[in-house]
Amino acid sequence: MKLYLSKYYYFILIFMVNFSSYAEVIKIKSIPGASFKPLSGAQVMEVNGCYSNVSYIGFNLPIGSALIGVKLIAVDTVGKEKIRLSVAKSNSAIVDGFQIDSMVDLKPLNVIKYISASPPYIVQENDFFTLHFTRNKSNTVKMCGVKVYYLTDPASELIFYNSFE
Amino acid sequence: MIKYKKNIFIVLFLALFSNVAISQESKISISGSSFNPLGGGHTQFWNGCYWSRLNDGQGDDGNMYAGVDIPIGASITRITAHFQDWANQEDTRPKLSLRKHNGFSGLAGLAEAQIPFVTMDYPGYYKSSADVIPHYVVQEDDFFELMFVVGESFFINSYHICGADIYYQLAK
Repeated sequence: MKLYLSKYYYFILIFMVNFSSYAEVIKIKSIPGASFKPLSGAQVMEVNGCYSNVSYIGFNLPIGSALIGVKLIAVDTVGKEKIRLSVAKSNSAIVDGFQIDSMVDLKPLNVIKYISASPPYIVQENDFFTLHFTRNKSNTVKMCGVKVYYLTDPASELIFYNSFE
Repeated sequence: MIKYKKNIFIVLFLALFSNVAISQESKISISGSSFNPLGGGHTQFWNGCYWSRLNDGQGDDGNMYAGVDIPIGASITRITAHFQDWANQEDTRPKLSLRKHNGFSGLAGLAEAQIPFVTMDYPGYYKSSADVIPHYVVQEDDFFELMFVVGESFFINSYHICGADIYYQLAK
């Protein structure tokens, strides 16, 4: 009975219900294979939402957020193809040394690969990002999509950055 | 005491619905310039609308693709496609479709908007909408793309994509 009489009880109740959904920690930017652009003259083919002969796509992240890694989903119809996915950062036209990159041995089926930025990269003003997707000259690898993982409040959330590897 | 008991239900009601009931419609607009050519086509443009010509820019019109990022949890309701029509052919009405997949499989069309057939007042700019039935709620693993399919035509330079809107609702 005393509980009903407390004014603060209402405030606590409203607070709990409203803020219960704010537990989101890792933000995800979804970059489909269809966002990737070909280099000039390259013949892009599409099968099941995966794209061959595509090379790059630019993207941006909020200033102050922390880029923690990317997930690559690609498919190789033959196998044994080496591919590289790198994240490049540039200030104006100068591409910096910052990179996440990884050589991936593709199996004949879809591959899923997590690549971590270590340490996480804190996004600065004037940063522009590019995903570079390179592969051998054969045209058997198709890009299905990339998920970019980042934290918008890195100071309090850096502890989570290893958790998705 | 009875008065307070009534109040608690009012407060509960307000607390719950201030949280979820605000479901506003938002849209993502994708410019025609975001579309890339399939099959090695060369991109052409006129008045802010885009199309692709195969065979080094000398062949037939080709299809174009564009990727799109839609927020997780969004409920996609419909799409609107903006076209330019220079041919007005009844049998080859190009389409813009919104498709999703999860990177591995499950490529599925969610909605398909087609250039309307008009018997007069063309060439011109037309938009057409298509509902997503049922509304699709975006999952974490989803990838979305737009495909501008011109189909086969006896005409070249005939249909252009000017842009697309994807409408969705976000709870809160």
